[in-house]
Amino acid sequence: MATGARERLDARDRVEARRRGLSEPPLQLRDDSEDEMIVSFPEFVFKEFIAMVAMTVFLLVVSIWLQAPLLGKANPAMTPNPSKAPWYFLGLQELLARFPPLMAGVAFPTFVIVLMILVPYLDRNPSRRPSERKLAIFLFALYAVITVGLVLVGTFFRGHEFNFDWGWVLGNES
Amino acid sequence: MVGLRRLAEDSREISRRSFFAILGWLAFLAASLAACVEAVRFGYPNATYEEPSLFKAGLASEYGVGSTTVLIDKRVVINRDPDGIYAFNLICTHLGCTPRYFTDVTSDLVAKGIGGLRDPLTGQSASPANPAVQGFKCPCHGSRYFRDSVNFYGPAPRPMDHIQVQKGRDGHLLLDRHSFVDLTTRLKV
Amino acid sequence: MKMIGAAIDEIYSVLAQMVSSLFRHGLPLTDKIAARTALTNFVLHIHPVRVRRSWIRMSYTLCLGGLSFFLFIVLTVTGLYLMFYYVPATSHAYQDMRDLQFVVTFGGVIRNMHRWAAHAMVITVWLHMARVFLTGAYKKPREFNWAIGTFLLLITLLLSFSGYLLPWDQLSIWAVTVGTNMAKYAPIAGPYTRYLMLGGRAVGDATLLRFYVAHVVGLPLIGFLLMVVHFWRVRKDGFSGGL
Repeated sequence: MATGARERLDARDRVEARRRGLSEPPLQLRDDSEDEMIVSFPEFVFKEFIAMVAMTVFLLVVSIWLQAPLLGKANPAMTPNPSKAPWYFLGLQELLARFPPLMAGVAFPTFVIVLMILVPYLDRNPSRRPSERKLAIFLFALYAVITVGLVLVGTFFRGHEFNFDWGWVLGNES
Repeated sequence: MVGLRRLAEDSREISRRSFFAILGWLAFLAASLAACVEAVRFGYPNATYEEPSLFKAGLASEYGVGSTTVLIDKRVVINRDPDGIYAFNLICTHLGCTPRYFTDVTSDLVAKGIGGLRDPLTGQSASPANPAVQGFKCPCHGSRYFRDSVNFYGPAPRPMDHIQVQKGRDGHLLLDRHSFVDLTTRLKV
Repeated sequence: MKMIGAAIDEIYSVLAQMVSSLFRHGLPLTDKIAARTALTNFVLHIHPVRVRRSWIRMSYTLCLGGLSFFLFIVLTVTGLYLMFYYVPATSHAYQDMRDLQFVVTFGGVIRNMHRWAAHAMVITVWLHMARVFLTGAYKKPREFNWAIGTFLLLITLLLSFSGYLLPWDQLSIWAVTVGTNMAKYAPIAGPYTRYLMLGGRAVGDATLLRFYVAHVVGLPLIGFLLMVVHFWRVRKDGFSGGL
């Protein structure tokens, strides 16, 4: 009798696991004793509200103090020196200055996008604990450092003719 | 035996039906694809109202042998060498910025020890004693060109595009920015 | 006197009916009504009725997804304001920007807000992606939602890029010249793609109109639809929280 109940429970766990898309029942059940269920309204909604108000205030203050750049009228005959893309594309511009455009401008971004979409299928490690996914976190950190680094170099350290300049030039002045 | 024959007839019946179903779906797929192609084709302009590609650039006699003239509003450069007149678009072949004319595009390279830099129109070599050669520099990614449109430094993949120069009926030069010719074409003067 | 009292009662009951027809739930005074509020209120029904405390911990989500969506709303509203004064033609665009900055009351603040919110959105969306990666939240069963998120990141970048041309200043024209010339290097389709994007050989009137339409209708619409699916999947696949 007791074993029958045990088997039924195991079977139920397997069904539950399959429904949730796990290949096998989790070895260790999450300890939810300290993790109570709460009603999303108003607590969760209030948190979001606070975040929204904070962001609005931040944006307003920044918008009042910082003018968005507006240079001279567009002129096809005169390229400003240096001429820079929006900051989030400066990593790409940085690559364009070093590699052939087919590689830096087309092949490389396409590769990154496809790789990003495939990440959940390439990462076969079922664990979500940071201590058990050191490789994934290392690779992501590498990606982040390269991306942010290229953007920073492009934004601050590229002067005339896009040559290196360690003087924190923001560019687009003339 | 009878049962078998009926089965064969049934399957024939089904396959005929499914054949039409497949045909129907294929037609639907083809029509959808055609609609997508149409949507893209719609956005592809048949006529543009940009500046005309043809323009006049004065008399050939206004351009001296060995001279380089930049028509910045047209983004065109007109050169004259002993063989004749030729012109090219002042558009960087890397990513389309407008290079600027400088009287010296080589001094810093000579100082770095890069040799073999020669002004193509005068034949004068850049030497440590006389390092300045005229040319164009692109502000976007630092490509450099000699006066004759040939790239010699930076990421530019090829010389700037040479364009057709003709003599109009009134004797004026007639340039067409959109019809390209090879590097050696000259208008005999 | 009695008639006046009856009339007041009548008016009160009509008002009460109006209020109760507005909201499908009562005042959220008890937990039960509060739970029903999230379920029956149109604006709030995007949330699950009940959540675990760990799912919504600020130190886990950092509010980045929500902030990205909020910035999208800010950009929609400020963008709508800007549209009242902006004409997408090379003869008007730049002057309109000058007017917005120096002539229109609050025009400068609205334009600045649109600009800075766009920058902020690129940052929050990217950080949201980083957070989801680092917590492993993209794993089964949320693989598909991660793919949608990738496209949302792309849409965010494209929206920023298409908006970059609209002021028609020196910054705009050269960023777009360089950006569209990159497309030219794609094998076979490259030059055609560029011609299609620009609506001609060089960045000009046709380009401005194209980028404007993409910026104010096309891309936001695609982004909005993707967001709808993204949020729906978050609800259906379950919150990832509680590492």
